[in-house]
Amino acid sequence: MNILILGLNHRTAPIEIRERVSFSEQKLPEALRTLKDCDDIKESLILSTCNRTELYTVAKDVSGGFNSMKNFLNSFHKIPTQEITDYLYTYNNKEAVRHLFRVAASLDSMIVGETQIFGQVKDAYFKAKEANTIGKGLNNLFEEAIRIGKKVRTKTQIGKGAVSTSTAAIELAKKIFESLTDKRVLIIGAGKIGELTVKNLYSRGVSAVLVANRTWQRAQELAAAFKGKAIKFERILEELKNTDIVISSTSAGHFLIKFEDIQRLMQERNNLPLFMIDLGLPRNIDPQINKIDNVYLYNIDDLAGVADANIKERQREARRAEEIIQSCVDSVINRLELQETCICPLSLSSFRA
Amino acid sequence: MITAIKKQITQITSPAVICVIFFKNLCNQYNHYFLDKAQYDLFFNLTFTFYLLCCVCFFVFFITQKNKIGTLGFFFGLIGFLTHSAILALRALALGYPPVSNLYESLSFFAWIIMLVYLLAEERQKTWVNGTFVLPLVVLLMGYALILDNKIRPLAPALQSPWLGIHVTLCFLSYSCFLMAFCFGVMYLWQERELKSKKIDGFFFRLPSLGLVDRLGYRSVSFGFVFLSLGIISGSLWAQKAWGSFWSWDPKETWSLVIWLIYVVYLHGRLMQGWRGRKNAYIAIIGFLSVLFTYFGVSFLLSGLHSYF
Repeated sequence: MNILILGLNHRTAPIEIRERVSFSEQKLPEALRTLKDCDDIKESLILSTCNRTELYTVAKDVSGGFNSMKNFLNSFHKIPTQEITDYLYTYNNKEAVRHLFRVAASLDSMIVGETQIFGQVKDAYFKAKEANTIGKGLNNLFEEAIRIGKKVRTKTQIGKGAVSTSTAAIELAKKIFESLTDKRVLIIGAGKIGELTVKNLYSRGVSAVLVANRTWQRAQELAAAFKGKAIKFERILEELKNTDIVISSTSAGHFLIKFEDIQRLMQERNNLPLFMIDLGLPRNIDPQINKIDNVYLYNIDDLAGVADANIKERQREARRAEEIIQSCVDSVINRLELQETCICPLSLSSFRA
Repeated sequence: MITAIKKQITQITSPAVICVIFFKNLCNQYNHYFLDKAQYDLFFNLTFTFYLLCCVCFFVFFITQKNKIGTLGFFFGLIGFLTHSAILALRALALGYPPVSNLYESLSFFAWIIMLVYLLAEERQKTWVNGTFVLPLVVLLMGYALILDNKIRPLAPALQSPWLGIHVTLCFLSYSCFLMAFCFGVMYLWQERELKSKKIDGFFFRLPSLGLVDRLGYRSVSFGFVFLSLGIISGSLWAQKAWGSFWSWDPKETWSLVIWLIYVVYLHGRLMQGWRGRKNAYIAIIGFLSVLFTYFGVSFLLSGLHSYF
């Protein structure tokens, strides 16, 4: 028995190619059956997401199987061979098993540790099961992959920590405040990341969103999106008294919020913690403010630093995940009675020839 | 006929009779402990082992963040607490007064009260984080008690009073609450440093939010303050009876007053001046260090009316 994978992903192919070879949900059953009926192929499964399209098969013969798969991809999507050949990768047997496990454990994802891919692998498996195109081989293999995906998630911290600027802000807010549901948010100026951060906070149920912007119209639009209130630019300091989270992203060339203002304000607000996020460039908030007790000021670089630290942490965890996978591959190979990976018959270069 | 009924009754009641006889024998045989010394030691060691396991579990939980291990640790703590309660109860029954009359008894009782307060607090929070900070002290106290002589000695005449249990329990309750506040204070300062320095490391995820530890710290101090005030009042009432004056500036009394004043500052700052977070955390830490000094330092270094160890 040979297990073969042929596919492309976000690393090997640009989006223009990926979108041409992806399989829509309606066409998937048909595609699965067509693939299974190809020469040399006994079982078929297709994993198609926005970042990857991969064909999984069990074949009698390695080179014959790869040929059939490639021809199927070309004829099904009506793409000339030479256009996609350069983007394709192939794996067989041991390498294929390892690849699938890495995919299921989210080690092969654009953002390592993201959770979506695990669900997508599961989904692809169930779809193929429904279409009745998989037998014992892929069945066992995918059961194993799902088990390992779960194991990696529970045994390592690979999915932990915010890895984008806006989610990093949320993570910090959750470590400063006990709960976000009774907190008031003030957003000054309307920038992309600022808006995204407020959106995230809003979905976590903050009690009120205030919007201050130079253009009144824009402020009202934004406020409406979060069932909030638009306020005049001059009233910012006044409103700060009852605000817990401030996000500022204006292009004003000077500090909008000064050290003395906040120092005075903290007494008025009884030292309730204040989380300030400065996304402006040049900065809108005096960086000295971070030195005041119970005030936490983060600028765009600080947030990126938090996200970076999390990414590094995930990479460290990814190494542990690789070890877990490595230790599983051999036993699975034995159980499935797979042959060793063969390198000779068909590789990317032979496609090109 | 009558003999037959008698026989019936004896048959029915015999198990109960046997139990009573067995229990009586037990009491007579091991009159002081209800258990003989070997059995008592065994139970004490068992308690210590459970606390140690609990402590280890919480440390592992802190690092791995696996909730199952935290729950397991809580379970160990609970079992340890139950065996601890049992041996304290047996000892109290044997003594006829609360087992707080010498250093060994007092350490064990202090550890028990800490566990009581901790388990009550944890039962509501279920975060397990606090255990990582509280349990090491419990293990140390119990470990210290373990190496001390646990023989029963006659009670000093001045201590023969119903006030003994009340006064000591109130004081230990307050100490335990202050220990909680101390732990929350440490967690606060640690987490605050992570947030202010913006260098996020592994501890950032493992420590709870500033808001939570600040609130719990305040709550612990409030409870502790009430208990300490009551403890001091009960002490002075007892002192009036036993020594003839409400207050005699004995080192322990003086230091209790110092602790009381430290927490007065805490509460005044919090309620009147709007102190929050870092300042409170510092005071809670200083406060508990003074508690430790009052408990150990005063007893060993300064002699006075309270020196019974």
